[in-house]
Parts: sequence; structure tokens; C-alpha cells
Amino acid sequence: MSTRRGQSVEWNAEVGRLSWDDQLGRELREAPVPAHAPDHFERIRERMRDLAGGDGLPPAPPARGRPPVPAPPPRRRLGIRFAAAGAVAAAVVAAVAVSWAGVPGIRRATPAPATADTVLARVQTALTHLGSISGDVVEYGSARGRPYAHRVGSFTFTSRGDYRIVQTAEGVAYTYDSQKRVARRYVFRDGTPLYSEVARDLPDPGPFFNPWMGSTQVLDRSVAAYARAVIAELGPDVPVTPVTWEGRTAWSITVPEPLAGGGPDGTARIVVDAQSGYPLAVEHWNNDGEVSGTRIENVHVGGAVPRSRFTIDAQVQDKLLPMSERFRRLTMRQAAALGARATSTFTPYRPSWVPTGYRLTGITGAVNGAFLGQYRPVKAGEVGSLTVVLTYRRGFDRFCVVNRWRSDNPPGSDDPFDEDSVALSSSTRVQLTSGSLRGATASVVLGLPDWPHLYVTTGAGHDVSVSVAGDLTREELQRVADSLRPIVE
Amino acid sequence: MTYDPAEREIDEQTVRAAQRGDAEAFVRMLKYYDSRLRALAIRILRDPGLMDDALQDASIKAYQSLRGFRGDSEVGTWLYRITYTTCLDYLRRERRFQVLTGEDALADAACDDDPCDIVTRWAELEDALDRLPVEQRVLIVLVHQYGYDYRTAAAVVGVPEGTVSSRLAAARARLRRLLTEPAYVREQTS
Repeated sequence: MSTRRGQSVEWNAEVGRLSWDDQLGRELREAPVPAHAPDHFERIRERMRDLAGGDGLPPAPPARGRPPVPAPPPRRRLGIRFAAAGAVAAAVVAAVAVSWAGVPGIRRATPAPATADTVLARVQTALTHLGSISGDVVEYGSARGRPYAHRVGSFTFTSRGDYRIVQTAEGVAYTYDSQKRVARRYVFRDGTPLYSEVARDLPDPGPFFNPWMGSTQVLDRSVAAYARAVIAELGPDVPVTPVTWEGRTAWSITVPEPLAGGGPDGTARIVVDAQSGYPLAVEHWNNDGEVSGTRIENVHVGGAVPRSRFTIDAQVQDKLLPMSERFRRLTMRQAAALGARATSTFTPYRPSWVPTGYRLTGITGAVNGAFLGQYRPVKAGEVGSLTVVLTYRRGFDRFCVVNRWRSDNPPGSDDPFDEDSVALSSSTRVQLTSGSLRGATASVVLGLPDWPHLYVTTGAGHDVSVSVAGDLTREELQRVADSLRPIVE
Repeated sequence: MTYDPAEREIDEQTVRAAQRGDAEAFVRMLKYYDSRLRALAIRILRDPGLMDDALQDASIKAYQSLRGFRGDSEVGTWLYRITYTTCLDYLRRERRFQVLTGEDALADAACDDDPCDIVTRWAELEDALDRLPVEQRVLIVLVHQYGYDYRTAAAVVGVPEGTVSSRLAAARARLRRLLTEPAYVREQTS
């Protein structure tokens, strides 16, 4: 059926012993059909009870010519999408909002003295050159003097973009095979796989694809980008504290909370592994001396990871749910042509400058795609949104330029990352000084769990949103945005 | 999974019990046909939420006219007919039917021996079905997915058998073309 690069895979006439018609019937029967909401039949029973006559029988058929009694309207189902997004958002909020108590011990140690600039360079080098990293994610803190630590799961990431994230408590595992571009979500109960969801051709997955990520991923994968962006805010000569962290030689940097994208008070501390340069922990202290943080234990950096790690061997073939976010890989020419489908001018942009070492690794587009901003159902034949995503990678680093046109643009939806932002995010305004969007005012957002990102609206009615997001500092975000030019066919 | 004609219809006792006011018998009836009604509804409406709503309404309509059901057709055909007309009403009312545009310019290699191949096949089948007019799509489901004969399909859709035949021929021809042509050709010709 699928024909890629001219290779007919399945849908040829007379495949095997089946006629084409039989094959069609078989495929139709095998294709999944959505299940009802759990209370579907109970709701029908309720409505039947409302309608039944005194004799308990179904109502008599209406007399000819008499208008039928209208059925009571069904209760509308809440969108699964919002439920899923809400659950993820709740998990993230819970992870950062609970008052934690207890602080893991930090002992002063004597690695080489360093400044913020040294640490920034080490983080930069780590993200550029690391082939892989794995570890366990622990959320910890203190509340009313009682220490708390909770292992939320484990992760493995590679510089190719593969990942495996296991959220033990939730019974969910996520994998992404970057070579096949297949994302999977496995759901377990008591260790037994219940079902698996599969999608392909997503843009190089980032934290905005909630169904294909766990909240821990948002925290641990973006911790490095966040840490680097925050450290870059400091003066280069600010001294940092050498410490021993979980037996590893590390540096500890304390920054004012507002600088870290948090509230007006308190401080944030970032601990960076002196050997690998990878951030080991980010923690937030309030003025009452309470702390909440995320740390990585059992860290392994570097080394080859077999691809089999990014597919879980779970026998869920019978419960395989295909998911589509409608994204497709495109050529640059196709991406430009996608703009013609908008009802007003939609010009996707690409940067003419990227930081040293970055290269374009993917162009993805979607008509009426989901999960980049609030979801809005489209009407018959309507193109409600167009999205073009350019992905750049530099080793472990990555960033995306997301071009998004929407036929309507409700207030607050300009930021493609806004759907699950938490209060920690804050934005500042900057004016773009060059490029095709020169003169436009952009917002720069720096705060967990979002990736550092910048967004700007343009087009007639500001219905086009362009964002730059990923492993970039504030300065780099703006410089990339200052270099945006239209993609031309 | 195949559909043996002998197993297509629920037993008469259950139908009679439902007509006598046995609510659970009626729900059993609905459940017996549920997977087929869902398949029909989702292919018309393309939205799981709407599918549920429409099937609720169709169920209530069936319940309301249950006393008047005299067995002129099979129960399944009767339920299909009600579901079909209810879904069409939803379609007109909600205008939520999404016409996919030709963004499906796939550029890379398929993945071998992977569940995603199944997913891709389903996705392409869904895409192709979406491109058919709803009247043709329903007939594909009834005849090819569930093996109903033209007479029954005609009764469900409310058109003569000859029309079923011509619509199906057109639908098959279009599907065959859509499913065997490369995506970029589809884009250029759609």
C-alpha cells in the first residue's frame, strides 16, 4: 500500500493469494476502530430510562405527521487531547510545585577552580560531543524540615535523537528511534504491557509533543539546555563553587531565581559534572529555606547504545494504536509550497545564520497538525493551520524553527509552547534588528520546563507565529531570529 | 476476522425481549452490532467524540422506534440505516468532516519488519477513504468490510441496487488508484 521512493510495499493488485478486493476488505477489518467512552452504554441506559413509558416499554412510535420527540442531547465527551495534555501538565506542575524537604548532601570538594564562563564552556562541549547519556531521574526536596526523594524513572538519550524514557510510577515508557523516525508510547499495568501507541514522522521530537514524551523528559532533557541558558546570563567571571555531588566532582552555581525564570524571590542552584560537563541537578530554594529540585543519578555518559534499546520488546501487536499528528517529512521546496494553502499569505522562514556546528537535519510539515498551540477542530474542507518545522542538530544539541499559520489566532496562542507552560516560565521582549522580520517585537522565554525559546508573530492579523526553540542562549535565540528569511521554492 | 452471514444477526428472542421493554435486551442488541456500527460511524464522521454522540442518538432513535419495527428487514440492516442517517445529520450539522489536502509528500524509506508498517498501511487506507465521497465510503465499509450484499447495502443507504453497484465501482477504481500511486503523484493529480 505504501509507496515510498517508488517501492510498492503492500497495495499492489493480487498480492499473495488475495484479490485486490479481498485485500481491501481484510485491511479494512484489521484497521482499528476507536472505542467508546467508558460510560457510553450507561448513558444510553440513562436516556432510555428518561424516555420509557409507565409500562416500561419503549415509547410508542410517533403518529404519522407528528414531529418525533427529540432525543435528549448527549453529554459531550471531553477531548482526549485535552485530557492527555492536562495530565502531563499536572504531572509537570506537581513535580515542580510540591514543597520538598531534605537536601541531598553537597560536600565541598576541590576540583579545579572555575568561573561561570568555564562551566558554560564545559556544558557546551558536553552537549556538542556527547554520544549518549543515561541515568535515573530523582525529584527531591524538603518540606517542613522533612527530606523527600522520589525516583521518577530512567532515561537514555543519544546525539542522534533516539530516546528511551521509563516512568516507573506511571507505568509508561516512551521510545523514539531516530533512524526509523518512529515514536512509541507503551502503557503497562503491573509490569504487563497493555497497549502501545505508535507514530512516525514527527518533527525531531521536542517537549511540545506531549503524547510522545513524559514529563520527566521535559525536566531532564531540557535541564541541560536550561542550565546552559541560565549560566550564560551570568557574568563570565562569576566564581563557581567546586563540590562533590553524589561522589562525582562537580561545580555548583547559584543564581537569583528571577534570572532562572522563576519567581521574584529565592535562588536557583545548578550543579554541573566537572568531568562530562552535563548538568546533574537543578534546584530551587525559597526564602524559607525549602528546596525542590531534580537530579540525575547513576549517570553514564558516552558510549554506543544499541538501537534495540529504543524499541521495547512488548507483545502488544494486537493492541497497537496508530496515532498521527499529520506531520510529514518535506523537502524545502515542498515546505515553501505548503504556504500556498493558507487563506492569507503564509511564508515559512528559515534562518540564514545558525551557531557554529549546527546543521539542518529535518524539514517537517503538517496541514491541520496538532500539538503546536491550542487545538481547534477544522470545518469541512478548511485548512485551519499550517506548520513547517526546521530541525537543526549539533551533536546532542538541537533547536527548531517552527513556522505556524492559523486561520484564527486566539489570544495567548502565539507561543507554540504555551499549551503546557507552567508558572516558572517568564518572558522578556526584544526587538528584531535585521532579517525579514526586522522591527518586529519578539518574546524570549527562559524557564523550565520549556526549552529556551523566542517567538514572534507576523503576517496579516498576526496569524503567523515563528518561534526558535532549543539548546540556545538568549543571545543565540535572537541572532537566529534576526537572520530569518522566507523559504523560497 | 470474517463475518459469517449466519452470525451477522442477533437471535430473534433478544429482539422480541427488547420490544417488550427489556432494556438490557436492547443494550445487548446494541452491543452485538456495536463494532460494525462504530466502524460505519467513524468512517463517516472521522471523529471519535462525534462517533459516540451520533451512536448515542442513533441508539435512542432505534429505541424510540423499536415497537414499530416489524422485521421487514434484518435488525442489523435496520440499525445500520438509522446509524447512517444519524451520522449524515451530524455531518451536515457539525460540518466537521475534514477533507485531507495533499500534504502527504512522503520522502523517505519505509521501515521494515516494524509495527509502523501496519500503522502506515492503515494511515494510507484512512487517507484514501477520506478522499472518497461519503456515499461511496459507506458502501465500501458495508460491502467490503462487512460483506453485505448489494441489496442490503441499498436498503441501508436508501438507493437502488444499481446505484450501489455504480458507486462501488467508482469507489473501488478511485481507491485502487490512490493506494497504488506514489504520494507525490496523488498530490499532483488531486
